[in-house]
Amino acid sequence: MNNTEYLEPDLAFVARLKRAGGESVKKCFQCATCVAVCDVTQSDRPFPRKEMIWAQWGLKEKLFYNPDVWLCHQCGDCSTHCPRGAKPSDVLAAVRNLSFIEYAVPGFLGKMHSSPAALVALFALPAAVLLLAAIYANGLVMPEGEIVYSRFFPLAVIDSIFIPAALFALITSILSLKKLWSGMKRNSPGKGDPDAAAVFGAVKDILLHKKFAQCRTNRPRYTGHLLIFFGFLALFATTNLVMMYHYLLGRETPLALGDPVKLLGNAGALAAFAGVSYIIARRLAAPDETGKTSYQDWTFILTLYAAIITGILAESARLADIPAAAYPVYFTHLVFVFFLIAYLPFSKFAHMLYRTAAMIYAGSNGKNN
Amino acid sequence: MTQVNAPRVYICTGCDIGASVDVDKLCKIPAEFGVPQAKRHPFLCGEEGLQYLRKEVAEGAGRILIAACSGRVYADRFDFGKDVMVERTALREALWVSTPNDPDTQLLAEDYLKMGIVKLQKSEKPEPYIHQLDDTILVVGGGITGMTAALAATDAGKRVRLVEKEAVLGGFVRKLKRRFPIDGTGNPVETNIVAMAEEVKNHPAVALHLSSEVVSISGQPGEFDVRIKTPEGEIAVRAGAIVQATGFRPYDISKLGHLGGGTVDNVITSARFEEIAASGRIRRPSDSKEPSSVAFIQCAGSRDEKHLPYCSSFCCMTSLKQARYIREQNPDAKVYIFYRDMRTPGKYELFYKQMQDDDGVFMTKGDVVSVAGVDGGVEIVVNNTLLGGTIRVKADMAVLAVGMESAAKNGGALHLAYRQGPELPELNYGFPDSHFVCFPYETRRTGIYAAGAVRHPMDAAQSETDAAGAALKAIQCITLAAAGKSAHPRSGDTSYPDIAFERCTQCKRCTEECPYGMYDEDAKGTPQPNPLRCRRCGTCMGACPQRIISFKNYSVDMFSAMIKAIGVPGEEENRPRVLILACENDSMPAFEMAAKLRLKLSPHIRVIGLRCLGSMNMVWLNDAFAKGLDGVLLFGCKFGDEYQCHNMKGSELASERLSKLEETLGRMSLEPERVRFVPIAIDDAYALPGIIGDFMKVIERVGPNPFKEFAD
Ligand code: SF4
Ligand code: SF4
Ligand code: SF4
Ligand code: SF4
Repeated sequence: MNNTEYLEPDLAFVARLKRAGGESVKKCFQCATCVAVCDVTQSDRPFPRKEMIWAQWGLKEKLFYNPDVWLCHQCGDCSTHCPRGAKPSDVLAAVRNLSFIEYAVPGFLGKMHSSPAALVALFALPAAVLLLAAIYANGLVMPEGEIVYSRFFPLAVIDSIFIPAALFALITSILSLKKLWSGMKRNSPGKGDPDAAAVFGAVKDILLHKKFAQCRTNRPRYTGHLLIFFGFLALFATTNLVMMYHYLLGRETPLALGDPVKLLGNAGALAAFAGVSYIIARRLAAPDETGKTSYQDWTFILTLYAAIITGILAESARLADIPAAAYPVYFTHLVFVFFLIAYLPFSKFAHMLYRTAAMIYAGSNGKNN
Repeated sequence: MTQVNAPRVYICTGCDIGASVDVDKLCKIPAEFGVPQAKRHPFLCGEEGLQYLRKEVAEGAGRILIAACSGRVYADRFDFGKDVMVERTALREALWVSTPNDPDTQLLAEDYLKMGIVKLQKSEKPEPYIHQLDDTILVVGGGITGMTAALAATDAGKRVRLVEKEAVLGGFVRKLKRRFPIDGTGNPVETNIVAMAEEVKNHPAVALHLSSEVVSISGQPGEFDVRIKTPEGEIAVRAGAIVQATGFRPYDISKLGHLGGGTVDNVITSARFEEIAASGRIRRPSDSKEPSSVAFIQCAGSRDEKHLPYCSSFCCMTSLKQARYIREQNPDAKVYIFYRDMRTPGKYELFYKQMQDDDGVFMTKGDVVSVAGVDGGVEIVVNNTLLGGTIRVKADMAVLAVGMESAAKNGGALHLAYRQGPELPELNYGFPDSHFVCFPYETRRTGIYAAGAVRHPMDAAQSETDAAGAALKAIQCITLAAAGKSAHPRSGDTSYPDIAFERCTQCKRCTEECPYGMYDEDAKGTPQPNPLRCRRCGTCMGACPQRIISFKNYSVDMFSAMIKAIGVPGEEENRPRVLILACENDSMPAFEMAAKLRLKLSPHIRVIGLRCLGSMNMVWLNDAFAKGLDGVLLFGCKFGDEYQCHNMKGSELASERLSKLEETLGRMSLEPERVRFVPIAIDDAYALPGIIGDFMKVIERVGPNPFKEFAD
């Protein structure tokens, strides 16, 4: 702390944090039981005890630009053991929810994602774009004969929508990440430059789900998250492979069911479906263990779920040869996929960016995570 | 000695006694003392045994020695009315720690029986000191404690005289805006002090003196002569017992210069802040601005060796309560609380939780290093905070949560005309408190009880309980005194010390050493007894070098005779003898516990229980060594800061006397190792075999007492 600077608590921020899911924050009396149970804690960082008092005082800068907040994988052990009924895991989740808004470039998109009122507008954009594209491509007439989605939306049309969306997500992600990174550098006097070992370590941790495996209170989430994670990885790979088929091999969709790429895609979709179903069920059945589910959590989980379900349904309708169902479902599927991709740095999806960045930051500064 | 008063001895053979010693041989012992042969009974404490004893009493037995179990058990069963003197010899316990049917065990049983007979022979029935006594209770101080004590005493049917130096009743509590939450809801409540003051004022059994002070107090319980300075002039009145409820002073803020105390306008005590809050809107002193941020500094001068080394227990709650005032006045205000620990015991925790939950209250543990005036407000620097490192905070004003100093510190309230000083002796830090376990609600001035924050730091709710307790103690003391009986710890004892003044050398040992200040002195230094102040500890008896202080049933001569009754086998027999003088309050129960546990102790010890180790007279050590005993152990309570002595000073005084022992031993060419003081606590039973065993080894090493040969 700079010695000439006055510390100024922020009442409004405390109130905001409470609204965002951290209503228990003031209950903490700093006993540090949570520190004893949390895996993220380091000897020189009494986490999350210190974050709790920063939150009580409304010291948002310290909370937003603090890698530890992102290293927390919300296992819920701290909340289970807190003797005072404060729920650090919920408070940290609330901090992260507010962080999505804080880091967002452009900022208004961050705000829109935390506000239920803006949800319709957020969905209206891809719906309108895709509608226009459909009108442009085929005058909104469902193609006759065998169901082939690329006849409804030719790949070039898809690419001309989704590649810019992905680029937009990429650029805004980089800008948002930069904001986080420089904030972390400002707040902790480490060197702050990423090093290769840290990157490698972070990737390894993520792939192995090492932290989730250590959770006690919310142990089942390990399975759920693992399924979703690898399901999505498979789907992401599938998308890229399909592009390669098209541009390099000239092979078109739909692929035969026995095609390895098709198999990969289907397996990924089923894994992701199982994972999200499990997580939703857990959140509904055992809120004490999963922690609070905020608006941002629900929007993300449900969008994800909707994208997977519509994807599976689109494929099923195609195989069952019911065009009246297939094309509208496919259209809806694309809306959800657009939502997920284009808004990535603004929705809870962005946790994968910030968490990875924080892991690398912490690793690069000599702190194992 | 008339025939009627001749001791009779009854030996019980139950509880393994009969199976452990040759009782027939024991029965013949009394004859050596001119006492009829002892009678034996298989089960003295049973109905049949008691019938038998009652019959003996009816047939003229007026002094009875019951050689059975310890006097600490069945006292009620072996009570045959006030005209029968009963002495108990703890044969059973002595045998339980010994090997049955061993020659040493037989010798041990014989010695205990002999000592019992001698003790009974030297005992007289005490004649209680009965005077016509006044039973008014004088309450000094009219705050919440004093008023509660006054009302409690009147409820119990006593008359009360209340002296208050201010012109109104109510004391500190009257200045409060609200009290701590005591109802469990967690909300501070209005005080009821005005209504209480009215009740006291209008109470027919209370004589009230406002704007008055006590000028002097002399006399003793039931006969206190009190002079009071009232606005109408000085008056002289009588009182039976006294409750001192003079409260506390907030610690002097000007001693806390590093916290801005006395130098920065906007740094005030919580007491001052409370007054401001009680009188309307809260405004800071410098410019009457309503503060939008206030910093509370907890433990300001408390728990600090340089200031008050203790916790005053009320200031955490006070600051939380005052934080509420500020937050109520201005919902945007910020309140900082810098604490070392938040101490909010019991239901107070609910209020702490409530205030924690308030968004505008910011707390952290930390060491406040400075409070300084800056830009019309204050700047506070706090080290080692929970937020991490040092922080610097600005506020409109700061409140120092200062602790309590006893109003009795530096005296001035009672003006006792006592030899040992004008005020109640303090326990520590200037509080006239007493040992919490051994001496609850007590003081060292019989009949005078301190209550409330004058006694130790406490809040209003605790003070009310304390006041009721003190009122009851005062009533109890008067009641006992009226019957010539002692108050705690020997409650009910009717003996009291007699001085054979002809031989008094005015050495002042008794007047100085009595833990209760019983003796005053005349100009020449002759002790002037006030028997109703006496707690019968016997310390004066132990102190008196002339050995002229004695009780009817407890005297120097009695114990000398008992020591001399111990049989000392010749050197060649290799049977050392060690005398243990043990305090009855803790060490004797420890022995009894050892007996219940059937721990084995050396058969060569002879234990004599004393009212208090303070009553140990040095002549007994002379007697013991002259008789040929090989060593003496003194078992008493721990003394010093954590003392456990029932009479506060007894064991300490005894061990001080030992410092003069070397001279005595030197004269007799005896080794100093032969005498040892050991602090014993009531739960030390398991330690006894080790302590005694070690000492026996020392005795073995230094060898037999050479005086054995000369002893008869
Ligand atoms: S959050 Fe709970 S466990 Fe952690 S320091 Fe606060 S009170 Fe203790
Ligand atoms: S939720 Fe788990 S990882 Fe996060 S702070 Fe609590 S204990 Fe640590
Ligand atoms: S009550 Fe609180 S402020 Fe007062 S001395 Fe004790 S710990 Fe310190
Ligand atoms: S020393 Fe003990 S026995 Fe002697 S006068 Fe004082 S209180 Fe009484």
